Amino acid sequence: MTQQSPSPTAKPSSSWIPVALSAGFRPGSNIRVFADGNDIALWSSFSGKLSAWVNRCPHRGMRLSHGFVRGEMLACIYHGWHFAQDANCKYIPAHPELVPGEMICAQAHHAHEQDGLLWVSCAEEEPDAPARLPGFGVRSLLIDAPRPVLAGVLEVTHEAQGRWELTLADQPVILGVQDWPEGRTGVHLLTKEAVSAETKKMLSRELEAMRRTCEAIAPVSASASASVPSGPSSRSGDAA
Amino acid sequence: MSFAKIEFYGTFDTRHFCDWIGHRAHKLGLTGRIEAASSERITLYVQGQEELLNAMEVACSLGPIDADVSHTNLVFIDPADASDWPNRFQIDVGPEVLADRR
Amino acid sequence: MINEIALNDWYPVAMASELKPGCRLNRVLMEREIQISNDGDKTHAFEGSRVLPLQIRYDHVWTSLGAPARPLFEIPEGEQDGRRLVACGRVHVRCSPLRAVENFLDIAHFPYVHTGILGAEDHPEVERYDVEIDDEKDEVWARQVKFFQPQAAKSAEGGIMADYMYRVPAPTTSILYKTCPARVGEWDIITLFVQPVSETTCDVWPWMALYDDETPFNDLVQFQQTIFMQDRSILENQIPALLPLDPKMETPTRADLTSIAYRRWLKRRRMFYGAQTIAA
Repeated sequence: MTQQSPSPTAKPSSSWIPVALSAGFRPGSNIRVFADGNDIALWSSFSGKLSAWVNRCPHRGMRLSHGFVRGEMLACIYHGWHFAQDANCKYIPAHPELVPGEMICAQAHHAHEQDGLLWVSCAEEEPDAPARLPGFGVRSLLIDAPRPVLAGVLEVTHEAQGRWELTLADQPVILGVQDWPEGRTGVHLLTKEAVSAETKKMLSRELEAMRRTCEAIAPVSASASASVPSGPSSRSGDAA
Repeated sequence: MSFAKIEFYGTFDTRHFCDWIGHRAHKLGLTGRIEAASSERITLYVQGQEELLNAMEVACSLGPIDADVSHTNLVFIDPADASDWPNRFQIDVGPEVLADRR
Repeated sequence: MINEIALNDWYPVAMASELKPGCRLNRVLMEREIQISNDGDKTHAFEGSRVLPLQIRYDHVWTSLGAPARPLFEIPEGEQDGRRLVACGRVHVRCSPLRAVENFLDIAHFPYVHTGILGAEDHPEVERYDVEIDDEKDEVWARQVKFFQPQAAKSAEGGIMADYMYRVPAPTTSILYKTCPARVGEWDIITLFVQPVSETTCDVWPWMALYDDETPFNDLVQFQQTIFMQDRSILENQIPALLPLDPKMETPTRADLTSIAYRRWLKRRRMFYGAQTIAA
């Protein structure tokens, strides 16, 4: 297994990274993901076209993963700049008459959907599709432990292109593995065959148990967790 | 389509600022040319949608970190008054600008 | 790095109303721990055993880590008779103190960030306005700013074209002059006093001087806090964290003129605390 420790200066790798499950990622969804240390807005248009963009609006640097999908376009939440599938800006609300040129654009990575997973590649040229390994999505989890800790805890029987094959609670499963910053790991659990809701629930609990085990081994340092943006803090309410 | 003459006054590294202006013109999809440049004043002629010409003036009024732009001036002009519009943005300001580089 | 310019300015660190006799407040100003205390008679500011300059104005306590190069700015309108003075408390934001000020100067985000309150998506257009760097006063001004607001203030009902002026009298202070719904011809004043905690975190102290005798105090504070909570989700998600003084990676337009003038002014007076000075 190649160890990738993501950093802002990470070099683009040539491979596809599994970043989310297809199941539940409905048209109109927009989420923040990481691939090769790159901060990415992953979104799906109303017609279901998938895009992965550098998570930065070219206007004033707002994260595009906070934006909203409108039809076939993604709009930045800050000033409502609209970007089409080709990443070009099509509409600047402050100047409704303006038709922005092709150079005013978001920066696109490659996005791909296959085998129950959504994939991103930050390579210049779009890589060949991952090898076929059909799966049925169960659940994604973000774990406060780096990839090697997971590899040590789980008995992986086979691995290829960001997917681990293993047995979880007697079920043959696939785990899409995605490095997050600050020593975290995103995992995307799929079964190899369609299973009952009851089995999914059981696997989901197994995955949570696995997370607890991993996090007990590698607690994320206080400084790392402190730098993750939080919701409104208790310091905000001390009005006169 | 509109045409404008834009002037920037202040203190700058001329070559660096000219390159920066060229990069911005490209980004905004403007055509035209830098007609005159010194370490205290740069004059350009640009063609594009009116709001993009405004955007050009706004971005360049801040410019690169080593430029101190004191003020700017944008005048919309009759295209006939600026002959030989190039079909891209040109920075052909001659050797005196390079000599100006500090 | 804290340069002289940043060190020698005045910053808000508390509300005057917090200064109960015997109190001792611990604050962080530009990464340094300071204390504000009230001995029942006077208020003092310290960094360790070092006494810091201190003054109480506009309902807030102001101090400096250096030797202030100029007196605290004047807000004459804020001291007029008949105005309600409203100190709104503190909002902690994980952003550059300069980004907090820049966002406050921006109207184009109203339709998307303050939807239905300060802006509406069907009225997003920004009309031309005037921006000036006043070299004599060493301030930034934006005038003739007009924007459609579905609910311009707590005391406003229905949509109006609101008039604004913006004034930046210090790098970490912004004053908004806004159409006063209750008194034609007067301006309500809403200010943002920003305490730089570090280059990428700040405490924001909104303060208002309004002609409004009707609205309950808590409603006024709540309104302002609601607005600022919406802004915070933006401010904590801008890249880079520091405010770029070279906008090579950005695409400002005419609507961003105040923001660009503010950055130009910061660059000229070499106020780099919270600013990014390489192209990004």
